[in-house]
Amino acid sequence: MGRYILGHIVQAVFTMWIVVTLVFGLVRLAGSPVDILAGELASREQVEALKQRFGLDKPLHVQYGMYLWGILRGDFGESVITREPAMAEVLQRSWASVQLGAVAMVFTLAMALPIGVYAAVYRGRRLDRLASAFGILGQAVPPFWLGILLIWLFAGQLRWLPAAGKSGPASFVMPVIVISWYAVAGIMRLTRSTMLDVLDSEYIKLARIKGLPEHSVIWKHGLKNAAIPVITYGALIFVGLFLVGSVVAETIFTWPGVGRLIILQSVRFRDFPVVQAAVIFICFLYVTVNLFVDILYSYLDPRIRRA
Amino acid sequence: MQIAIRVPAARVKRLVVPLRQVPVLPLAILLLLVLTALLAPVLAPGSPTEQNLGKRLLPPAWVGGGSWDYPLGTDLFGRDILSRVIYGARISLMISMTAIGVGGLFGILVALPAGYLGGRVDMLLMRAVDVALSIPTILIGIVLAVTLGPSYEAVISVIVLFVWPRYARQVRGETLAIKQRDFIALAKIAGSSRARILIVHIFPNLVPTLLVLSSLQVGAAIIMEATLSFLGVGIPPPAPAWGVMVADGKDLVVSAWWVSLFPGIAILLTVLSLNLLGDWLRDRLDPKLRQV
Repeated sequence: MGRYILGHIVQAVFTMWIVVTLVFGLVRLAGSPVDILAGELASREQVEALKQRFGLDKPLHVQYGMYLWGILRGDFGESVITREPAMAEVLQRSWASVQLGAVAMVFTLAMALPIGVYAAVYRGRRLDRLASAFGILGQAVPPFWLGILLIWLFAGQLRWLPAAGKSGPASFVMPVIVISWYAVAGIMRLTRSTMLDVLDSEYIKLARIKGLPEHSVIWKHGLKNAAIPVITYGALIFVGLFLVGSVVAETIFTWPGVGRLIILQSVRFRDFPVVQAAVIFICFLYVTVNLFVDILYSYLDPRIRRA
Repeated sequence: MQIAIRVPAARVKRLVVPLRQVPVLPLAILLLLVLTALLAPVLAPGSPTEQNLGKRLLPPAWVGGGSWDYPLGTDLFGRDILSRVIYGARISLMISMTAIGVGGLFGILVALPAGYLGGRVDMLLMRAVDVALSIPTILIGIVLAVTLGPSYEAVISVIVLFVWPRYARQVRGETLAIKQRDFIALAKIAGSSRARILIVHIFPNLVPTLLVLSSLQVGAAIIMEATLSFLGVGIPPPAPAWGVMVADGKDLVVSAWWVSLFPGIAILLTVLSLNLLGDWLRDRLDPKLRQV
């Protein structure tokens, strides 16, 4: 167990290192890193200060060392636009993203788990067929397009929801649907297929023979055993989809979070220090959540726990 | 007499049933898509990039104010949406096929020998695959777009980065299973070289899996390209990529819904067809993959 966890921590650190190095390499590939790090509006003094700070007049390996050291201290340089520390800009917006992500996660589970369980229990009935139709169709609808259709319907035609920005609870509705879209379809299908396996097993038959009430058989004995693959594999699907979904949803609905910050700063302002800080910040969250899921998996699965 | 009648009937049935099970509609849509991409200059009524500021935001022909010169309407710059959707098929197919080709080939080339040889090589590969799978590729795409500028090559690279570990993992698993089989042992006894075993005996057995995986991954690649283009970090704007077109209509959707609607439908139909075809191939060729 200890070795298993250690192995995954090493892998997580290694993944972070690869990403950070990839970013370093791409900046150097682009030619003059000063232009990228300083932006077009920088004065001569600012450029000089940057050269000093990142050692841009020194050999490449020294630059790389200074870059890694900066990242370890959370120093990503200054925003080209505001001249504030880049990481501070990112952290300022992270709370809005976390709020949105948390609501989307609760929504995903609240939709996907019950529908998946019911679809398995009433296999082949109307609800099951409806759910699998949604699963197939849902995976072909690109979330960014769905978001625009939602704006047309709920903000344009019906005028029920605000089209953009973060205000009251109503402003969460459309972004949450966009973020959860793929994850609901994926986890629902996963829950259904795992529940089908579980419901077919001996201990479920035993629970029925014992005369336990049906809801206890399904929700307590059934779902509890189906939970391991759903949590672990589901979480892995989740993290990736949520990441892309958040960037897309925040961009469409002008949500004041990290995802929109990345796109706005990269596409419109080419504010590289902020983009870099945001990318590494999100990567860090992503890798950490993956690590956490792996450890959770080892804890839930006795075959690994006792090894 | 009865037997003579029954036999052909059974034979006919054997032929007819698979035909009926073939997903005709998805195949037809995909065929149409490929033809559209190939014949875009012939099929498109106009230029996909020519601007006509006097004809901005015309609605589709069947809506009041529309005209059959622009069957699906025009966008903010007066460009013909139908022509753009048609040319968009080229970009979508070219990018996704190239990326899947390169990524898939790389995954196969790495995983086939590693899976067969096993040992340290294999362990190293699996580590690399695990790391590659846990890198959020879309973020790399954004960094690539900011540093080197958005380009076709950048989009293809990002999709390759996304796709290769998925191929590698699948191919390696299959190779491990196939190398245990008797005919591989027999080939070894017969004196076949390693290269010959890999190419002649193992690779052909991977083809069904690769077909299934590819049909599903092409769909994923198309969505990925469209998402990057939509965000402004994919195909650079004047080009009629479907993702770019959806983004063009983003702020106009309440007044000019057609700008975003039609390219989105094109993505939806393409990916849906690919997924249905992939599901069907999987059930036919490789039931083991059903859980993936």
